[in-house]
Amino acid sequence: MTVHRSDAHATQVDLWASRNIKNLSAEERPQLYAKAIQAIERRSLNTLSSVTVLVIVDRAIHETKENFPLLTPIKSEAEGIDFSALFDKPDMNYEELEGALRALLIELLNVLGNITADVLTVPLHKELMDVTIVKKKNRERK
Amino acid sequence: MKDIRVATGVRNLDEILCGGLPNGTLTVFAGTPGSGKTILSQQIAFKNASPKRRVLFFQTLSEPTAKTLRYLKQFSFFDQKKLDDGSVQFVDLGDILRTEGLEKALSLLMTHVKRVKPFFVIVDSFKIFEDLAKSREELRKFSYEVAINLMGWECTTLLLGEFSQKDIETNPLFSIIDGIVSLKHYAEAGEEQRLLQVIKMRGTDHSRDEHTFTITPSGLEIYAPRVTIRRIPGSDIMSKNNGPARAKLRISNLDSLLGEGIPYGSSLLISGVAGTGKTILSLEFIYRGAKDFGEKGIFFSFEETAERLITCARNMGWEIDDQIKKGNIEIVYIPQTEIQVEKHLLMMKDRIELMKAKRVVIDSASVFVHKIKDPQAVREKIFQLGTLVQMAQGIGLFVTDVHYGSNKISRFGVEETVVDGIILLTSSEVGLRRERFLEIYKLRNTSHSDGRHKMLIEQGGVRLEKF
Repeated sequence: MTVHRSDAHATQVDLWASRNIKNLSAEERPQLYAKAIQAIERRSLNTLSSVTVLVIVDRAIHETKENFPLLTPIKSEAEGIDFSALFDKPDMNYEELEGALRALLIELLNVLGNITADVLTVPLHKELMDVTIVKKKNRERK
Repeated sequence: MKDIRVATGVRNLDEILCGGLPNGTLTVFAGTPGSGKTILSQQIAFKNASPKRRVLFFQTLSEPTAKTLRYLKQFSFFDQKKLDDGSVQFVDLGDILRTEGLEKALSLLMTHVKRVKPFFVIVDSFKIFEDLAKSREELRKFSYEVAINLMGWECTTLLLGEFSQKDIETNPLFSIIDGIVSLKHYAEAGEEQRLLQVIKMRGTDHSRDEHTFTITPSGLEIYAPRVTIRRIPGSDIMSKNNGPARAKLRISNLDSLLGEGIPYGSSLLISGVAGTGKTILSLEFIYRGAKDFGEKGIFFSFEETAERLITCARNMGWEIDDQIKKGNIEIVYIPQTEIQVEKHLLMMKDRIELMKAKRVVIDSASVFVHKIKDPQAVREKIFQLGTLVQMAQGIGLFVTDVHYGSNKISRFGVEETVVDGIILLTSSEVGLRRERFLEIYKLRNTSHSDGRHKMLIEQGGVRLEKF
């Protein structure tokens, strides 16, 4: 079944991004998205079983990869999503990667929303709004 | 999930499920071999399949796919185009199950799910996994993983299997699934009986009754009179003075005995022993209604053929052929050996609605329900016949044959409790002759005549003599 996509998730993701992303470098931005995806995955585990979350994450990755093949190195594992192979790739186009991870984050929220009849949507959006990259102090002084 | 319910396309099943299968649920179709599980699932599959809502049909070891396809072609719901364009896809898991076991089978199943992204997934049969699992734990883990994976992909899933009541109580699969639909078949009095029951369905209210069904060239036809034949409160036709609208019969001076007339929506028993004139009175009721009032009438006969009834009407001098030609009268003959009560209740409902009949005769109601042994079930079926008449806001005459010498006013002794009126036809020996009598025994909310009135059957119809 194709994913029913709600605009509410994309709107929320873009609102969150507009507050958190502007002072980040091109390299840091995809990492913020990856952090957000992991936060959503972790928050889902408070309510859903690990097997369920694994299947949902796997589906979201599968669906997103169809449009963004550069996400192929991502692995969904019982311990959580593993982005290491993705970020280790040389010559990464960070702008493209940011777009792909944004799509994955929205897809994950869509699938979770659909499967839980949006029962988890409000807490997941709240979780998302709390995701930031805290820069190291010495970097901030620069 | 966008759509809340999935229409099954199986007559009356959506009514039983109060709106269809809940989307994204996992339902088991349980039943013995030959009970209709596969046909039911295929019927639902072909109804719903489209290039945007694909169906994946997994075959396990129970029936080879080639065999399934061959039998499937004989049903009218089968659509070759849906196979050709990939809307319905069959996948045989038999080989991998035989050689590599459950884990590989799950992996292959999910590979197909990810590739096709189906709206519907059907596994026929799921019971085979129970036989292939090395332990109860392995079966539990496998069932759980199948359920979670298909849920994660929002597939509405049907798992078919020869599951018994014991399986439902003990098989770990049944603690995971959302719905159980049981299908049974057995022989009773030399006739095949098929029953469908929704035992459980999360996310919806549903009928918990057993419903009879047959398998026809169109697939399953479920007869669910308790669900589909229901009285409509407040639907009674009212007259100008705010009382119920009433019908006149114009049969001799019967109207003068019936007070203000018979309220529309009412059903009356025409009760009597053989030879008292029940059929001819009922036939005249239909004929006068059509000829004198332009009211369409339908006569369901289980004893006399349509030809014999028409001949009888012609012999009375009635121009019944004209009324039949105009579409004002229909005579439907169902040989009593072929009666299937719930199937024919539904057929009567359809015919009455299609014709917009205002007059209905059941000749006889006692033959119609004669195979039912339980008096409460007889009462329920007579009530449902009355409901058909109430739904049409017509007048129903239900003929009931009583045994000669009996003091009962109906064959089974329960029919009179659910009808609105009773006309008793009797006969007595007078000298060397036997004379017929008619008595209005009961007519609700109507000030009717009492006492017996001599009834004659003559050229032209019934004639009543008042005394």
